[in-house]
Amino acid sequence: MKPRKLLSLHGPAHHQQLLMPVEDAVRRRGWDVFRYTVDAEATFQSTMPDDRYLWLPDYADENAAQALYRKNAPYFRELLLQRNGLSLMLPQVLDRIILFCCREWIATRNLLTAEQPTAVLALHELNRWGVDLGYWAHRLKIPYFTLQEGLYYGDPWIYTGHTTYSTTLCWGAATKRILEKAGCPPERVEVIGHPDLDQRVLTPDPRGSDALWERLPEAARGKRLIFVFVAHARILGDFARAFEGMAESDYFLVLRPHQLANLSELENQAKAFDSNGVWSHFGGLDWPYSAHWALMREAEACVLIGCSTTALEWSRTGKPLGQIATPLMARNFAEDGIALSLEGKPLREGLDCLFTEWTDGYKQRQQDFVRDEIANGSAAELLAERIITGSRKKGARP
Amino acid sequence: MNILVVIGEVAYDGTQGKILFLVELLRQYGYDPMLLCWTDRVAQAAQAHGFPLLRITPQEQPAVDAVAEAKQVAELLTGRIDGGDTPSWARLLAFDDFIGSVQAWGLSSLGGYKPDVIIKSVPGGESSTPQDEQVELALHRFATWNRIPRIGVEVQRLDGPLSISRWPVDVLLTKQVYPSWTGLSPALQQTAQLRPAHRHYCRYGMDQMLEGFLPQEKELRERLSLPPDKAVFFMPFHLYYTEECRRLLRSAWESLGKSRQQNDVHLAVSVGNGTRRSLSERDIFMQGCKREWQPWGAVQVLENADTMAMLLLSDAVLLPYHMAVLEDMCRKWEVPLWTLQRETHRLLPWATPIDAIEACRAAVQDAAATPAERETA
Repeated sequence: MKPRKLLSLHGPAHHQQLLMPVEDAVRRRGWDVFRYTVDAEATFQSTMPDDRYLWLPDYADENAAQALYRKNAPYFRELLLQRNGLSLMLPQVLDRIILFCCREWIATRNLLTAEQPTAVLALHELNRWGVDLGYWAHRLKIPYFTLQEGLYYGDPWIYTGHTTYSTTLCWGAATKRILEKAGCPPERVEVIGHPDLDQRVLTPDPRGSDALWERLPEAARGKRLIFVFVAHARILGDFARAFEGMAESDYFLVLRPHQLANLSELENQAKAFDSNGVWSHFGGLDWPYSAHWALMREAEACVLIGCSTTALEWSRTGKPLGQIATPLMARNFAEDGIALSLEGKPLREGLDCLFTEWTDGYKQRQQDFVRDEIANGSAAELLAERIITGSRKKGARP
Repeated sequence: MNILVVIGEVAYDGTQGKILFLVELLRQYGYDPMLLCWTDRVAQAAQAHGFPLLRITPQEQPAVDAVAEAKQVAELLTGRIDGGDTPSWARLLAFDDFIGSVQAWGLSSLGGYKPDVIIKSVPGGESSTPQDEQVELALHRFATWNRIPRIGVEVQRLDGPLSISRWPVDVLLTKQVYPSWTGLSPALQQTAQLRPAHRHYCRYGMDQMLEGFLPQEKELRERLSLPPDKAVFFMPFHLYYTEECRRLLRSAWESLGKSRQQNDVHLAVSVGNGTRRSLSERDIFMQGCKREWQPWGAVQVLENADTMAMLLLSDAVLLPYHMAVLEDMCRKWEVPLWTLQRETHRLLPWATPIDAIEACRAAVQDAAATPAERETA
């Protein structure tokens, strides 16, 4: 019998984390799993878990891509000379992306034709690689599954087309509601659960703890660890003043940026903290995930600057969550009653309040929030099972 | 007429600052250009030349509702979904890539300065600086939305795989003729090659002779009565080679083919002091080559002209005999050289930045004219 083969599209490292437990579970069921990644200025392949991955540009056909580019170029040239929203995008960047779109469009078709997977998996079909994969999987009658990539709190319009070609297996009822509001057919959105959130934030991992403490300075020992998560590195410096006076406190802050933060921007912003003598430590972008999750397990509280899926991950721990709002924040967890707003006071004072004012009301709302967002915190096996049962008949809607 | 010349870091460094000669050239011809820049080095160099200067500072971009913009872009691109093998551009571009690339900082006004024409270098897809890109995009919006004609000048090479982004200009002045210019935008009516000497403004590398010549170009052209708006073909005549001159004039005219319709040509011939019997070199040329020069329309005969100056002022050279110095300099300055051995050249129309401005002026006037006025015109 021909071996069953799952082909999965890998993007940034924090997305890869969500695919790997499901891939492992699929592999345990006797399937072969092939990962592939795409050319995003080397950011994706440099964080792939190992070297055994397929590389989309290897399947490119430059002549065909150039022909497709030339076919579409006149249309875009005309658009560039008119007044429209595309003029918010640098013409050279737009041009480069169009060329990449053409290359990847052809390459994805070639990849699927060459590898002939039984099913394909990605985190969503809303970026250009997910669209390419969905279109060609549909044309070649290959079942296409997508998993949830984080909390879905953006404008519902962003999620339109989420299930154009895929069946999406999401974490909880809240996401299903959002996707349906965005026009996704209910039968294409299935609530199964998060692959492994419980293992990440609840299950002790001595190796993860070691990795964390290897990275923290000696001064952190004996202090109360506070996990500070910053959604956008470029705004971090604005909050430096609020952090003053932390050096004399019992708290030790560990600042973690979003995985996609720009390194030079982060380093620039960190200078504002150095000059303030804040007793804190920047958990760099090079931290292994095991150390990140160990910090979540071992920190006593989390301060979220901006808006992030971290709010949900942290809420699963049941520990106090503080929030500092930022401009253009899509969701305010303090307004939802699942985080305490720490604005308008020095952070040291805010942290004291966070521990004293973290009442049962907050705890209850946090639990309700987690239940609504995550039906099952350890669903890797269920997800794998769903992919396999949905791929039994080639060409059928999964 | 308000002419805004935009000098970015890449254009300045890529030409070792010589792009500023462009402003000088415009001044020579009576225009009053305003220079737009955003770096100290360019500003200092411009001030040293005494050029009027508009200094801007690209700012942190203001908050913008990228999703609302993306919705509009998606609507705009939805027409590309044809159900066939063409990518669904709305999906490909209007989501992650668009939302992640939105740059909203704009030039709402230029301190009250209202340009009628913008002259700028065309990004060729090579390296750039974040500030250059920020201004490039802001200018693109400013010019498109205010319908200000743009003249693009080639500094970076324009024959890379990316062809869409080099066309948001109305007139393109290039340094070279590219083997293929596919898919020219219908909106882009004019592509012209810069005059050989003017290409030096847009190149890396210094050349003492050219740099000494450029500031006095207009004066020299006037002194020699060379029309500034015509493609000048220069031929040094020598009475030893009358037959060769005749053959060359004839074959060059034929090989110009379509180009001679695109270019208003002007034939300038230099003659020396030689005589044969009662005839001067001028007489020998005028009478002996009459059948050959007549198709050119008219001929200007210059006695004892400075060959190097003529070379700098010419758009092409016809050389009926060997002359190593002239041949070498033609090669160096990339002046098209017609000889009896090599008689064909692929030519775009020649243009100076002045021609481009005049073309833009005509386009603006035409756009502003009422239908009745256009009819009358």
